[in-house]
Amino acid sequence: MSALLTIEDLAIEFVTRRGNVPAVRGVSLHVTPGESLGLVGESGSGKSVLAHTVMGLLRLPGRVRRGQVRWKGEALSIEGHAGNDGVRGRQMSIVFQDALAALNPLLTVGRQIEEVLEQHRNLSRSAARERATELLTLVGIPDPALRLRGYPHEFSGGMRQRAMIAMALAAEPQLLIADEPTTALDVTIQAQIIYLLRDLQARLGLAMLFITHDLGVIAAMCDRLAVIYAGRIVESGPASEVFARPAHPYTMGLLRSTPRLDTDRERLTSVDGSPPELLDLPVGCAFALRCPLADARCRAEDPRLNDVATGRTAACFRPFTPAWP
Amino acid sequence: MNEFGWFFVRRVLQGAVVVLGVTALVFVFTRLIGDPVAIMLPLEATEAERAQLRAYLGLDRSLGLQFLEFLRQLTVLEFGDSFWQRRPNVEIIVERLPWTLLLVGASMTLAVVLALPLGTIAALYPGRLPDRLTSFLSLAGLSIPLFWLGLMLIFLFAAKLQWLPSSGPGGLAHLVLPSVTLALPAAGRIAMLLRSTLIDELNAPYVRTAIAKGLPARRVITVHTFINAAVPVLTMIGWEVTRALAGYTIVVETVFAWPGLGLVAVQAIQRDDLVLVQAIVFVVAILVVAVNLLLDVAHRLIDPRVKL
Amino acid sequence: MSVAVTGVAPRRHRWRWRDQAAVIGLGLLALLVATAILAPELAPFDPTAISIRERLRPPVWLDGGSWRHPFGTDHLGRDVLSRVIFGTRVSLIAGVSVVAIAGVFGTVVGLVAGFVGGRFDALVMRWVEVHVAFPGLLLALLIIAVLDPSLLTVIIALSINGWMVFARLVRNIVLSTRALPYVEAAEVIGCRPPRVIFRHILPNLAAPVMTLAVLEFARVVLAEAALSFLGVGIQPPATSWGLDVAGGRNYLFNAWWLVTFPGLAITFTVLGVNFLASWLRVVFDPHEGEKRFARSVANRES
Repeated sequence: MSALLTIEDLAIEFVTRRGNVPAVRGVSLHVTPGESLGLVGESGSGKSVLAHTVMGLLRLPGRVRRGQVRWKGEALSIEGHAGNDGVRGRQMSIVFQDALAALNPLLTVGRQIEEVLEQHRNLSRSAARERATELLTLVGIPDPALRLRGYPHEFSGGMRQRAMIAMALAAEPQLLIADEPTTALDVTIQAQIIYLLRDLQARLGLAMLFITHDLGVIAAMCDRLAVIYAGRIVESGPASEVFARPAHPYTMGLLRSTPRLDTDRERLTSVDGSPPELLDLPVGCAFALRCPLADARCRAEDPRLNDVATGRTAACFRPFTPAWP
Repeated sequence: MNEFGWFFVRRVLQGAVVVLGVTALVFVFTRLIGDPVAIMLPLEATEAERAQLRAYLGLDRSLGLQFLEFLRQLTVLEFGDSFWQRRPNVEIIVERLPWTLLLVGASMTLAVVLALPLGTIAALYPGRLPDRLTSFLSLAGLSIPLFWLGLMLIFLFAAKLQWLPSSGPGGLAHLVLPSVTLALPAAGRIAMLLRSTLIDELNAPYVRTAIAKGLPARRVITVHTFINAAVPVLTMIGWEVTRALAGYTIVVETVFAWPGLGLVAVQAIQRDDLVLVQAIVFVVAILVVAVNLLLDVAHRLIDPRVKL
Repeated sequence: MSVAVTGVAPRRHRWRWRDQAAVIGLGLLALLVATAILAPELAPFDPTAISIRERLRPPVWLDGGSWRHPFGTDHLGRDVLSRVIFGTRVSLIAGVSVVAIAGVFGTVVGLVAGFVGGRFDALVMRWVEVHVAFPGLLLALLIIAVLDPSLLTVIIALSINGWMVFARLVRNIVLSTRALPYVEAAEVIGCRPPRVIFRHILPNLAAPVMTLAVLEFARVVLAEAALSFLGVGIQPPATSWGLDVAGGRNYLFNAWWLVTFPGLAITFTVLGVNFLASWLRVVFDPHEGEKRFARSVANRES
């Protein structure tokens, strides 16, 4: 099946007074219709910047160094103010992490949903209000007619995120990008939002790019998975296979530090060390400093992303080698 | 009464406290630090004259009683008579206030009309001509003394080009130079604030959301950003109005011989007419409080998060 | 947007001579201070020396002007250049004294209000509110009317008008600094108030108070000039730029230089101070510096 969204060798940097920080260093990804792709990485790994760039939201000090973003084969503009092109907000939309900041504090929630309907579905004001009520019902907000007249600060965190999702679905997009949609929420609310998204994805046949630092969420949500480290994809493949047998030591480390119910491992351990300084990347593999397998070659040469099994890639010289006991 | 009514009542009471505070300040300065009789009478006045004035001003009573009497007179707008003009102070104020309000109204309207497009364009296209103009105007507004700006405008437009009258009250032509003098620096400051507020707001997460929704740039700016920039900009405009009322008009009216409250205040001080100065300070304090009250209400109407 | 510069330690602002504003500002201020100190050496004439024979001479580049009086002379034949040079002193004295008095008093009040809190804090802040709600010259005029105009009165009036902004700033910083975990910790483990103030709070105060002081200096120079212009500030025979503008006002149509040069002196002084203030803000705020850098990159590329 041909892909909806294709990212080709995308590289993004941030200009600072101390030099250009390479936040994303040549990432290629694709999302096919109806599929759910999880993008997982630590904070600062470049995953959110990637999502923002896809949505045409990259601004200085961030800028694209090379690469392309395509929608159904057509290249999208990714420089500067690139919205309003019939794709962004219409065929793909985004749910942000912090709904309180992401919603306009001075407009009612209803107005913010209705303006999407007026813009992209050509609905009249009254028709838009009616549709917005349905959308709130769809995302499980009780008493929708009343809530539409409310302001974002009057909503609870979970309700706000539901409203945000309703807003993102208003234009009836084919792809939904969820940028850490549950990070700012309480754990119980997190689960509710995850279930809501999964349910909506199935019911509406949505494709989804799900960005998170939480492998547990990916396990619940995604068909495929890509792991990003220091601005690069280090492993990708079908979620179940990657979970069962990770190829990259970093993925193994992440899995080890994620609580699971299906194995009776005794201890959770973290990946020691911290991500490399992007301004001063090592010559070889970016993960070498934290990798128990790293040898002279890893420190001298940067491994490319190679096929390691059917439908699976990893950027490691020794894929599938157990890195931790 | 609804929530908003209580909010309004509370703000009015707070305003009354401010007016009371200013009145107390005025009272302290005039009665405790200075001796009104010594200031208002010439040195060669006889002791009998002094006693008479003291009794007339109520200075022979205790300080507490004096303050209460002072308050009572102000609340019933009984401002006494002007020593200098030999007529009721109320009359003078009623006569002069419209001139000041006209000047402040015209100049602030002009300032806002100039500042809004300038600040907006400056924010959207940093580094271009409107941005430079805004920076220049605001820097000039912060650095050029008003009285000198006024005189330079007179020199240019009245003396050299002879397009406009140099000073005095009169028709629209007379209003131009004084209001431009008041407006230009204010416009620079408002435009600069609008510029920096808009730049901040344009980088706010909710603007990112609006762009991601695929809204046209024009709609993002006019609907989403302007409403959020409105509160600080309105506050700034209100601040400019109050400063114009309580300070700048004094200077500008003096430069242009504009017959408003500010000019009369300076003349009253030069003639040692303390009672008239007190009355003017009181009236201006009420005006300032009223402007602030309006601002609070506007703020509440725009931003639902303001606590009631 | 999550700026991916994780792990990069913030570095201190480097002194760069490219900071033109600061150079201009410091240059103008250095000139001002030097002129004020060396006024008797620099001025070609006694600023108060009257010479009826040499009334209203134009500046050197106009017909009838000469190098004897480069900026011309006023209606009493006094040398405008010498008066501008001596006027520096008044502006500087007024600015420095008011900022010192209002700054110290306001800072102390703000420290006490922030530390003691409770009823004292509420009372002081209410008073500050009243005072701030009533801005401008009118109050200064009233004080001067009571005290008789002079340089000292101007300093008193402007100090009374100026301490509240310092008090409010300092009080707010004290409150927010005390809420910081490390200061709370210091208080919990029993550091005495003076130690907390000196070790933890004063360092946080220095930058904003200094920036405010510089801005207030500009405000005071303008206010002194305005009061003197209105005839309620510096009184003749003393010299002040505002006073000279007022004196030259009646000759505006035929001797523009009387008004122009003292006015320019005020403008350049305040301009220099404002440049310095805007530079201080960048030095003290790394975010602001980073923002300006991004903007300059954007401008270069567009």
